[in-house]
Amino acid sequence: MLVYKDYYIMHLLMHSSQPLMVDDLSQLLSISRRSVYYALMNINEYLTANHQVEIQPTVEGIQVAETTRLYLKDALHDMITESYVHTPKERIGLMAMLLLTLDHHFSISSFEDIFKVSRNTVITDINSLKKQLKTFELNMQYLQDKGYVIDGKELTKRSFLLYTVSTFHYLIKINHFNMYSIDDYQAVLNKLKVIESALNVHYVKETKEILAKMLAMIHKPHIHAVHLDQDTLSLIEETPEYTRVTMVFSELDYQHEHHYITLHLLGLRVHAYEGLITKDNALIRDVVKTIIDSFKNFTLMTFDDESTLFDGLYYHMKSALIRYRYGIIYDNELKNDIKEHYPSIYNIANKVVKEVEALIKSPISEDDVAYIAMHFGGHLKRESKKINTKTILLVCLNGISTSKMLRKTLEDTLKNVTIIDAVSLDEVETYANQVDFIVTTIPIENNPYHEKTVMVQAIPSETDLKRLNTLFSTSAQPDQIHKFKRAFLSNIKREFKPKDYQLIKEIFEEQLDHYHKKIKPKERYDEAMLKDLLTKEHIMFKPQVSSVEEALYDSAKPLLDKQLIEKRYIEKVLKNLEEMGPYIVVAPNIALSHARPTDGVNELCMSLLLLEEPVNFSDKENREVRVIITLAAPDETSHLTALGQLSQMLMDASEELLNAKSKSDILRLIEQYSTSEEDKK
Amino acid sequence: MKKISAVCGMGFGSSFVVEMNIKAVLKSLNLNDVEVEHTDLGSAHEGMADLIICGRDLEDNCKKYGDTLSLQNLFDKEELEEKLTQYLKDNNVI
Repeated sequence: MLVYKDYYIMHLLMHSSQPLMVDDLSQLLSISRRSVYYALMNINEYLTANHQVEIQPTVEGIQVAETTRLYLKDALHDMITESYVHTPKERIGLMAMLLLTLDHHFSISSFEDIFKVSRNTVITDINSLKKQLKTFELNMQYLQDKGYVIDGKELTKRSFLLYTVSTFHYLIKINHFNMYSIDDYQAVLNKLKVIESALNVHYVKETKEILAKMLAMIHKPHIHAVHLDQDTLSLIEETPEYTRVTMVFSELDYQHEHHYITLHLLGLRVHAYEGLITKDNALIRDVVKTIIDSFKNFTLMTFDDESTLFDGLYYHMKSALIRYRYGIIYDNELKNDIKEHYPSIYNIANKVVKEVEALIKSPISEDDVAYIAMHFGGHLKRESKKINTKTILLVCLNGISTSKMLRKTLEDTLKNVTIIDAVSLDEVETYANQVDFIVTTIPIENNPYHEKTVMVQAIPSETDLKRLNTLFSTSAQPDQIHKFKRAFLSNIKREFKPKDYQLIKEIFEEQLDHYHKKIKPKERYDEAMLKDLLTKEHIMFKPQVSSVEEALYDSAKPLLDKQLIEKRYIEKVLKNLEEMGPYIVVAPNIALSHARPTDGVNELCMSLLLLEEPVNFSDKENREVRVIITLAAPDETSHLTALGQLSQMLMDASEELLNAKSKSDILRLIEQYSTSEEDKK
Repeated sequence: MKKISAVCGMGFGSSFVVEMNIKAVLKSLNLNDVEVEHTDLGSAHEGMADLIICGRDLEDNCKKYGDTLSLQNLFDKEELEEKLTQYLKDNNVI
């Protein structure tokens, strides 16, 4: 049996313009290599069972036999309706590549067509790209006659292009948008191979391909020549690589182009060319210090032996800075291993280099990020230290697309988390024991890991993110700060005169607010309002029920169906009723069915059942109830806004509620009482 | 009179609403230095507060821990105001 993910992989393999590798699939689907292998195994089992030729991973990429292609064609056509969905970062990367290599008139509407997104999304993307380019002193603007263009030094433009091509190589494998012609690319690739054998060296295949693509993209009449300074030119001219480049690329005889290609080939030498080491010691020191400080900031760690770490990075940066300056290609063959085996260190290194990029005004490629991660990884191992991050498994319907978007959002929003993989429902078991948390967009039936499962929407709401942040954060949490504030104020109140107290209170609150805003800008969200929780499908009518138990379960039905709460939540309410009496009958005719956050709450939620005939919650006294509201909150505070509004509504309008004849009657009431404090003022 | 506790079964639903209402009543009586908190029945103990306010079904449980006022309707501010004011008068607080 093939599942959606398998079909999707086959779809990508059959429709991409260049063969894909396992690593490409891992990036395209945003799943681990292990998951890709698992899917490939599954596909091959299916193909064998149906007497088809298996797909073959080779050094050139995964090959699909023609007969297999034909066999699967119809099935794929039925199954796969969506085209590849780009993440915002991928769209921005592609946008940069298109602008840097094509002589077309690109406008907002051209990007709308290319990415199939709205005008607003394109504008947001353009603004992010502009901001990113600015870090590297490049400028993007719209010209009436040319459309969007990127201006700046040619060398910087090229290094940004190379950086984008190598980051999103997997994307241009499936569609190269005519940014280069396949013939040109093949020609450049062959020339690089000629040089390789003439010099008796060996370049890594992927690196060669990326370089060839980049060169095929820029060797066009409309792209300007680069300018290099005299010292660099003379250094380059002494190398054997330069001689070969002038011979093989003889048609490119314009200013400094041979030197430029030679620079890249020099960068690929195992031992970087001695002459190409930066002498700017102060800058290297600055850069290394920034890297270490920012790493310490992100991890809240210290190193026992910082000088060894410093020396290691210092040595690496000596040659790296030259590469950054000229945008020279560099390959770290261990890149993918590092990403997979030390994801948390890699993630942090990735954030760290953003600060360095701003310092040196050049982009830093994934290969270098991996190299820096390696340094820290090795060092932490020597000092027997571990990074304290939470590991997360993502679960969604197909194990792709939704989780891919979710993954990017979470990685961008949350600190201290490492997402180890994204899987579909039936793969959860395999991974569940290895992770701290499971974040899912779909309910998991009979979930044995419910303690560590968090359910969110595919596009997480602010409330979702807030909850996740609270869960995963190791620093002070908002409700703790709130508790602390209350305790502190009630203490000082006893000690000071009212006037002094008022003053201290004001200063304290202002400072706390300021600090709070600074450390957790993403956590200052508005609380859910009554109307956000008591929605149409959470309101029910029923003539009568035969027992309290039935009333409680009926009232909670939509919450149970959507797995916002678990069955044990209602069981707990029943148990409490037995032990403490009908205390949940909070007002005549009204019961508020609830237990504790720890009794199986997955999400803040509320539902309401209105009965025509009352049910008595007590067998001793009259505790008749017609409205049963089920309330569940995942923490102590998130429900308070809505609860306040609910109590106001029950206080002022219980008659209207009890007389309601339709959902819209009730919804109207709810709307009326769902006003924030600000609105009232 | 230093402290009033609102008590409910779970300590995070209705007692919070009652706490808000108590605060509102105290404010209208200009009693600004009485502390108000909310808690669950399980955490209730003797001497926890000068006055406990709860729903009628918890009255017997709460009485053990001190003076208790019980409410028919936890959300009814008027009922609370009437009973609390009477209690404060009886105890010469106001």
